[in-house]
Amino acid sequence: MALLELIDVKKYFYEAVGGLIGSTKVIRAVDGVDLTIDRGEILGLVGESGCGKTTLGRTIVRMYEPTSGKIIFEGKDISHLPPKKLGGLRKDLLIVFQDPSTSLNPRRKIKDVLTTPLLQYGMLYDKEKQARELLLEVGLSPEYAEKYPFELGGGEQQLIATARALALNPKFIVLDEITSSLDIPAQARLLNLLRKIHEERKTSYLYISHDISVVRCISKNIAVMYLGKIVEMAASDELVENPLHPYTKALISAIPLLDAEWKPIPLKGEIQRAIGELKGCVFKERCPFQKPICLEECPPLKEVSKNHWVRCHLYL
Amino acid sequence: MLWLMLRAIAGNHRALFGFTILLIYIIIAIFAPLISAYDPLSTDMDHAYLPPVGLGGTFEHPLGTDGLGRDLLSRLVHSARIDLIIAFLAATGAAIVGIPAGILAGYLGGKVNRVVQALTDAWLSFPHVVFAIVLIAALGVRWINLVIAITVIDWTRFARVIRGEVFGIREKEFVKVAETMGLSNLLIITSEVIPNVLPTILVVYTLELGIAISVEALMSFVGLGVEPAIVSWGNMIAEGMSYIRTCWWPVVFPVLAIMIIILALNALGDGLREIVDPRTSRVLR
Repeated sequence: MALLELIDVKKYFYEAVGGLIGSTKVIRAVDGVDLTIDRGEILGLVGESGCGKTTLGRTIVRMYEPTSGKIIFEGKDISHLPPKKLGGLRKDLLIVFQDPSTSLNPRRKIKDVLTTPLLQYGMLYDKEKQARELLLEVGLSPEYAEKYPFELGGGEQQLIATARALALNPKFIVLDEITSSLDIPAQARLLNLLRKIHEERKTSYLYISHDISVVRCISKNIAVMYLGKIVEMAASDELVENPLHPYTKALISAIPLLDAEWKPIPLKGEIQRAIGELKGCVFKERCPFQKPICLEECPPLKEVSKNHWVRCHLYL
Repeated sequence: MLWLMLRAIAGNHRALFGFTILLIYIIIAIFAPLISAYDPLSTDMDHAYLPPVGLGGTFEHPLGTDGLGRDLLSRLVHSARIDLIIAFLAATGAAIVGIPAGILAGYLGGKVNRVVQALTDAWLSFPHVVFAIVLIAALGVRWINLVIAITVIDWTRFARVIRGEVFGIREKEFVKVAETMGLSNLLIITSEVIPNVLPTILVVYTLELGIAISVEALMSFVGLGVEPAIVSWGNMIAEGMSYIRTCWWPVVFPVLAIMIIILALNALGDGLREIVDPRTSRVLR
């Protein structure tokens, strides 16, 4: 059963353009995304910086109100519910941010950081004990309770930020680039923790990252995003071993392998910003297989084999 | 937090200088009757206009006496009491009104923010001295009314600075996290916002102490501050002015006392600002 359903979700930002006669430019950060995440599913979302994946994550937890489309969580349409009115759903729908050095209050001890959310929901009965239990659960020493965030390393800080979300025992967590600023051992530690929690509690994650190899090792399905649109979606192994969209192919070939023969497929240019009207395929400018129709029409997301969806004219 | 703060002060020259002098003043004020040999109010016309030591005076009156033969050292030391009491009460009063106004305006924004901003702008557009004179004229010349006047006038100083600070904090990611977790405004303000404005509050409070002392001197000088029966630095200057051409020391010593404490408080405030600023110090981060 679907825990979270996104139906044609769009999030546009409007940027004022200076000048005597002001006007606004529209930035299509998220441009029509359909996704379903089942109870206990881990979905990976990959894409370059600027593709809108962070905006999508933040829209799901209702930090932003979607411009149009529907967000259905636990059967309830929350697209236009103000965050304060989510009530009981609020604590089931959480987010962990990329940079733990800014998402942890620098002037509070770890035990206070960890237990404040519990206080809000009346789940706090013994601060010292609960803080210690949470630290043990994520594999940190209980002595950290008395420390300040800046006394910890980046990996440990991110474990704290994750533990704070896990304390509320949510049903769904958006993990927004949480391993991006960490070194490899710290990444492994965090990923193992997330796996363990997933097995124990059947928590669903939306795992957002630019690193497809990290995403593959944790998620069941992977969606690839480009300029605000999902361009390909499939089971993790299928997507990595048999990528169809030219962008996905380039992305996968760009993973540095422990192999002397490694040669990435070069891509022309940089990702553009999704400003103003877009005509045709989102990837048309960088695509090596560009056809005339690509400039005219945006292809639909089509299921080309079982549970393998791709948005490309080559497969229509 | 307090221990961290003291350690940080010890590591900053300016803050340490200011803090030490403030501490000395407080100790002098507390032990004033033990330090001074004379009643600061008792007159002795046989020993009027005695010069200080070094200018022909004796150690019986180390700083000399004034036109009514009162011992200047005793008067100076006793003045520290009323001046520091006024300073701490007025700064505390301004903080009690200004801090909640600033935090609510900064965090809630919207209507609360517009009201606070309108008030602070109105206060800013009105000359402070005139405002103080009007208030004292209405309330009467008493030292406690001076405290009230300073509170009423200077709460905006806290409100303005803290509002700006909270505007910045509100955009920080840890506040966003607290919001997505559904924490109430009250919990976010007490647990996320206040710990981060505390250092700024301390800086503004320190500077406000100095301002209150100079306001006491100014208002007492024009006869609208501390009632003349109580000895204060402002009253000493006001009385001494009438015979400053023949005898300057009754005016110079209280002026020096005020100058040194304000200098110290400003140094402490600046030092605290350096300590608090993450670019110049890592101690409190």
